Amino acid sequence: MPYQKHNRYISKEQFADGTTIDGSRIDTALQDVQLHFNKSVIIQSLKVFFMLDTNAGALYPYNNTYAFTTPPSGGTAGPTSDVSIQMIVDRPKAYGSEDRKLNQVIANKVDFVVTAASINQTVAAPTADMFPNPYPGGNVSGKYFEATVNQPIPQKSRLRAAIVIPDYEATSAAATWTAQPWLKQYYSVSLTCLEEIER
Amino acid sequence: MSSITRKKLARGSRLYTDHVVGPLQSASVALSGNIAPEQMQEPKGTFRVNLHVPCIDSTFWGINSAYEDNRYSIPFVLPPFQQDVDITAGAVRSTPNTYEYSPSAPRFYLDEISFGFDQRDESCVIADRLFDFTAAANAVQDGQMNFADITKLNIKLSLFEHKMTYWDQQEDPANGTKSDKVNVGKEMWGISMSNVVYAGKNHRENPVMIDNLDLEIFPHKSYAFAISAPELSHPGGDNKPSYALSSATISLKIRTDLVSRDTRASDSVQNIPTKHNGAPTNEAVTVVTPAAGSVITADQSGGISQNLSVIDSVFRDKLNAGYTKNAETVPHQNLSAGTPSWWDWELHQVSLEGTGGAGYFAQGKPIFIGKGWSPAWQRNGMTGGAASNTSGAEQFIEVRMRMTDTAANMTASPSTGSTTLFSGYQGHWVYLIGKKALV
Repeated sequence: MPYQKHNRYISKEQFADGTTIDGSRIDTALQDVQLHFNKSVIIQSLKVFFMLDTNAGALYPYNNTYAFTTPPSGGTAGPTSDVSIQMIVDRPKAYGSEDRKLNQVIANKVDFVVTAASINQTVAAPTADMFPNPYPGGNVSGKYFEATVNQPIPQKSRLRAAIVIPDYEATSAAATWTAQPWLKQYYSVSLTCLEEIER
Repeated sequence: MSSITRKKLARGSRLYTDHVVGPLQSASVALSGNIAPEQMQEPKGTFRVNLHVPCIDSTFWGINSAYEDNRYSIPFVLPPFQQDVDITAGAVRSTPNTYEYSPSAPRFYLDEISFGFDQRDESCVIADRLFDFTAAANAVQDGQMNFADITKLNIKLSLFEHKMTYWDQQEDPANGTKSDKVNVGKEMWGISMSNVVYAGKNHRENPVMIDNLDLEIFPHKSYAFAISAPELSHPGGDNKPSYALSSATISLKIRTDLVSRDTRASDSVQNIPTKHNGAPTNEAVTVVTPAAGSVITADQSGGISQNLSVIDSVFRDKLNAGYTKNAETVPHQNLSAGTPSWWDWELHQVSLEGTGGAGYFAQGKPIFIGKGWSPAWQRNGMTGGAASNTSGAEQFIEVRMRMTDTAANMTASPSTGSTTLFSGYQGHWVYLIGKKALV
């Protein structure tokens, strides 16, 4: 799932009406995907991949190391914990489907060290039975986040899965997210849900 | 159709053991791993083709001319399973109908479509990078909301069906008498949605869901899901409004027959755990037939209650089939089938590793994918004989594509390549075609 475009402004899906918004949470970029299920399903998990290049150079932009040199709120240099993953289910139509106060939040993964969630412990050349060889972009590398849900949702449910990343903009030099954080990794999302067998 | 024949008795009939134990005996045979889809109340499984486009901006709708009839189209195909490919690869089809889809091969039906995009949860349209564009100022408004122009958010969704050149003599490139008529395909489904459905304050049909479609999807045809929203763009010139469909998400729910899973013995599956080779380990469900003339009992061996409890216990434990999360087969399998297919205009077959395997062209035998634990780490080799390099520990699939100028056309003569489109708007779509075991 390429992530070339974004809605880089705050949305009501992040905050209910009346929420006090502090400055450290405003600058985010959010993109969500929306699914409308006719029948009741069980949402089992959401898996999110941030794939990275290991080759260097202008042709390989996906090189985020998720680290601050100077955190915008001060403090010492170090890894960031500024990605969040959310899944919400709208209220049924008849009861105010667009009222975000009535959302059912079924997953909310926040405050984890992004760089610690590597998909592999050793970045090495892919095996020879994989093609194309060599891989474009270098070796297999990236981050992997899983939100385990295991929750049934009712029929006619509208599910929204959102990835929220920071947008430091003016302090972009302070973090490896840079001024265009949405272009620093390649995104892929896998939603596991159980649907009934049918006639 | 039931595999159990219940024997009806007239009043006063002499009671034989078969009257009582016969139906239980039939049930025990069926439950010993032999329940076929036709015996199931729900013999079909579903899978989804999910398509996501991060952004369709106004350039796609033809910004330099008024409302061109452009559509953003995403092609896909549901090819036959390897076991159901019914024609010799590369052969010229003698008539358009020489391919006969086997009556036993699974059918595919599109039941449900979900379509949504990001409106920032408001009754608005989202400006794209060309909103208020001038040569001097670009992308200064993108991502902003515009409420007044919600009237431009009129969307047409379509599903197009197209004959495939591979299967049809009239379209087959290998056919010397190929028709030169344009294969335009047809629109098999479509819906127009007015801006009204996206303009409500308290309710918007986003994402919208269209159900009860019941449209058959043929393995011998290709399809394209098309989105059209031309009013989001504006005829050329500076300082004009233009809008994007951000994060467009399409989910097609498709229903198909359950089929038997692939095994090493029958299908030469590569990388499958050697521990079971995909073969089912059927549960032995046994009822005891009492001797003729013996006393009818309840709880003793061969007793009615005793035999019924054997059948009941299978149902209490639920009916088992499929693989566990560690690529193990279940130890006591009751079902003989339980594998729906899954995955999500020019379509290319990308061959799997190895030789053989039926497809549009030889495409390699099926490859098992499943996270194992130590008992399931030992895997069969790849077709060439080499051991799988994942060592039975594969956890995810990464797909990367590389395009190279192997003929060096663009290097040797830039003008030659500069007029050729190699990668269209938003790049390429890649689908994995496989079978998924029910768990």
